[in-house]
Amino acid sequence: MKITRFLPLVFVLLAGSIIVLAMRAESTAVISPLQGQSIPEFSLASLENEQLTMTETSLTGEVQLLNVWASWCGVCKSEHPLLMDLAQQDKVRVIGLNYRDDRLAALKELQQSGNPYQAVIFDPKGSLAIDLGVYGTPESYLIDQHGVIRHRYVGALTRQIWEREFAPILKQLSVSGSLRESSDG
Amino acid sequence: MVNSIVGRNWTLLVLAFFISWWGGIVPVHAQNTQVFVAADTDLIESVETFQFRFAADQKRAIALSKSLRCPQCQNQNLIESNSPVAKDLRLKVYQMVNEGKSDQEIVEYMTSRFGDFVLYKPKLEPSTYLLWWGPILLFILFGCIAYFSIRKQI
Amino acid sequence: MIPEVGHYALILGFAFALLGGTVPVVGLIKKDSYLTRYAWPLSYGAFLFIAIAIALLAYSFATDDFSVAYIAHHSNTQLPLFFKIAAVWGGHEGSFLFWLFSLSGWAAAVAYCYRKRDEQFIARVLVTLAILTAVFSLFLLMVSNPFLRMLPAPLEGRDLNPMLQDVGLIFHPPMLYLGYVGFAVSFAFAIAALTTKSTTIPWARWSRPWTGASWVLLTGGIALGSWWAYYELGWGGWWFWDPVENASLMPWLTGTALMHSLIITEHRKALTSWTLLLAIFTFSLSLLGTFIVRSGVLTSVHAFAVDPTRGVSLLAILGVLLIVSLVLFALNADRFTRPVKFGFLSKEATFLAGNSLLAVATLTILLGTFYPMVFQALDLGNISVGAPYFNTLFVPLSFLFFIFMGFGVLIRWHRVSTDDLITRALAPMSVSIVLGVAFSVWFERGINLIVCLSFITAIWISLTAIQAFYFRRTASRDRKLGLASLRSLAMVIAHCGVAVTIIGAALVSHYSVETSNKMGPGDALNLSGYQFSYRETELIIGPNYTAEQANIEVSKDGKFEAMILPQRRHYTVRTMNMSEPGIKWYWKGDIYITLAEKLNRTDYAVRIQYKPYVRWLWIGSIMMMLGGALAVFARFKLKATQLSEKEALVPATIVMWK
Repeated sequence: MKITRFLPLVFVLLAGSIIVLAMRAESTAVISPLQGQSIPEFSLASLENEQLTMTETSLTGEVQLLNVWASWCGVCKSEHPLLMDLAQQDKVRVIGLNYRDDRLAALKELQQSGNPYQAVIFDPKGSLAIDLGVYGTPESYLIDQHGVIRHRYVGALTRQIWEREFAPILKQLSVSGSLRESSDG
Repeated sequence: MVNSIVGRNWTLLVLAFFISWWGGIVPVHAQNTQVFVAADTDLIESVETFQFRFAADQKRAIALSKSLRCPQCQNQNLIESNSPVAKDLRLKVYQMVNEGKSDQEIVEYMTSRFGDFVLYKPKLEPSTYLLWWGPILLFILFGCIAYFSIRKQI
Repeated sequence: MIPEVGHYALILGFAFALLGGTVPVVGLIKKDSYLTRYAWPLSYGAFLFIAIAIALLAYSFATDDFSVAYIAHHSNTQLPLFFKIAAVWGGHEGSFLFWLFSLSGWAAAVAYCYRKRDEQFIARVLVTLAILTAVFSLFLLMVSNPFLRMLPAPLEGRDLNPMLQDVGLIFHPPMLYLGYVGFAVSFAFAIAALTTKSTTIPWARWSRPWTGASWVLLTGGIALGSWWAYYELGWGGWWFWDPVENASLMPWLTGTALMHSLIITEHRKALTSWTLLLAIFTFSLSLLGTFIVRSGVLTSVHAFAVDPTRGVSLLAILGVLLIVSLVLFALNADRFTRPVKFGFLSKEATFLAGNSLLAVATLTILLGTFYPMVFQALDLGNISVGAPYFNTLFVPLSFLFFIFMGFGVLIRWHRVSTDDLITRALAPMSVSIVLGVAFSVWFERGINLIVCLSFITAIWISLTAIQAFYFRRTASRDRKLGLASLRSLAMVIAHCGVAVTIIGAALVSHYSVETSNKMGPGDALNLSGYQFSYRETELIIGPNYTAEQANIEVSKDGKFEAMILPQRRHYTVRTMNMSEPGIKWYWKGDIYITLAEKLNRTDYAVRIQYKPYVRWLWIGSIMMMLGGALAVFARFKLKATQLSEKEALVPATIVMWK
């Protein structure tokens, strides 16, 4: 009974354990390659006011939640109540990124179901979205007061996800610096 | 008499050269200004009927698109997928290839936005050494096993 | 009522299999021949009832019994009848029932084939197969039951996924599963060989036709899958290195190694460990394949619905199977002595090299397929491993393998001198190189290394095969084709099939051209020497879809060639849009036209591709299948004409070469 005869068994046990362990490991959230980096440069019109141009500096000064949505996106409707809640409680500034949408349809949607956004960036061509790495609506980005992306979530936000992933970072940011800084201009 | 003929021909030649040069440059510049298009049908039309300046570019663009993964699909590359994101990215690849960007730059553009996930050819980094060198090690391993097992019984 | 009968039949099948796996074991231990012989009727019984179960499921499909949940999810009253039957294996539960049906079918076939002899050994084979059948039927009954009811019953089913509504569905899964499961027979023979005390049983010889038949079916299943994807999915691809495809390729590679390793074990009792391990691993890889497809562990376009619990159970079954068989191997493999030694330059050594290369290729595919999952579990991030990785590693390994393939056919047994080898191999080697380079230059102005190597290896494989056959015929004194000659002919056909596939793959990968344009009625363009003229758009109403069809006329040098009719279909029930390509095929290449989206009232984005020699891929596969089938058939045909033990054991190659 030679030892070498047991090698295939050993190999299988090894490979099998790796695969089983890998299966049982909890799948971690998608880490955005932009995490820790500043928002990419952009220059787009606001949804409500065509004359008003928004740039990356518009997204500094406070901690904000950038929410990618569209009027044609059915799943987005499910996170709408939570967004309204967050906006009302004033925990964080909620900014919308209207992705590949029709201006009138988007405005109508906000009118009908309520507008949680302090401002909405109108991105009909998806140019900012592609720079952010957006690949499906809805998505949410937590951006700190300096315009650095701190966290990204792909999918509809729920209270649990907010509490588990966003709230801790929010707390951290309010401790390290004042939540509302005056803009440096 | 001879000088003036040559002189006239020479001027014509130079003029012709400048006209053709200008004719070549202007269309190239016009292509560079176009980044994205507004509505969906326009997007589809530009990506499905994209015309490259050089035929070799088309081959390169298609090959590159085949090596990039659609970020939201179940394992499809940019050519296979019909999702809007895939079309967006494919158009971007086509445009960048048409502009003369290298494969490296285009890959860099995609991975800096969407992560290494969109790359079907994993980068060679310490975390993927096993992936790339594993087969070579296996090859050597099996080679040794075969060699020594034959030698042992000769 | 009918589904309940089917359900009960399944339970009976399980019962028979359970008994078939236990009663004969008691008989073997107690040396009670009466109990041992129970293995035969129990195998027949298990097959009978599982067959009844699947027949009743098919009947329920045909009669639109939507009270069965599985049928409600995969069928519809508008679905044509043959698709309703094919929908039996269109979803997870039903396809697994088909798996079980194949397994019990193979077991019954083995029982029938050896019904009058070698009780002790064959009983072990049947017991192994019965245990497998029992375990899988239990899995089916508990975790994936196709007969579960859905009450109140819906009036209309959800319809079969439009992508599956194609003739490919009728043939691809059955052939694939029959192939996968057939390797269970080789597995059972290996287990029987490991547990029997006798050393004279020619288990390798007996295993060969079963392995050969499974290999033929698996080859067919994979080729059909590739062909189906090609003409159905709309972008002309034929292999995607998708996890599910890899899952079918891995057992095919080890199955090929097994088939050839059995030859060495049969004739020389050498490479026995390799053969036993290959038998164990080929079936294990088939099981791993089922696991991959059904568990959702790996992302794939082909995967059935995600269900981790099923995945875990299958993985557990696979784990137990592997551990038991490998422990048996570790304890018993030494009993197989190797009386005949061989040198470095010998057929045995060449086959060993071939086995090793196929093993490395299989492990590479396994590594690449599972790496992203492990990577993510280790929190290293999210990567993708796809075609570029597999092509980079697999292609060089294949070329190396093809070189050995040619040598394996030419080289003699036991020990050959270098001079002898050079004499034999020099002619085909030089002709291959010269012709290979010539052909590749002729095809394209420059020389592409891969295309060039493909031609060289393809010609090398063909020439060596034909040369070996010629020698075999001149050596044989018989004018008729005896067993050895028939097998040699089978080898020629199969190996030339590989050559044809290599050329097809190389040429279509490197020399495809395409163009994408906006076209409407009245537009025309040129590609690859053909002229395409968009005649008109027709509206078609199908059985469960409506379609817009572009009638495109193709002509060459002014002469009409064909009308190509790509469609954009809209399936009403599942509200899915699908693009059906229009294809005109020639031996030299395919014209492949797809209709992308509608751009305005009259125009479409039309994508026209020319894919040179793509048919050769599947023609080569058919040749491989024919070769394999001939080899299996040869054994059965000549069994009747008093095949003597001696003729089977002594290979004609030893008799005389030039």
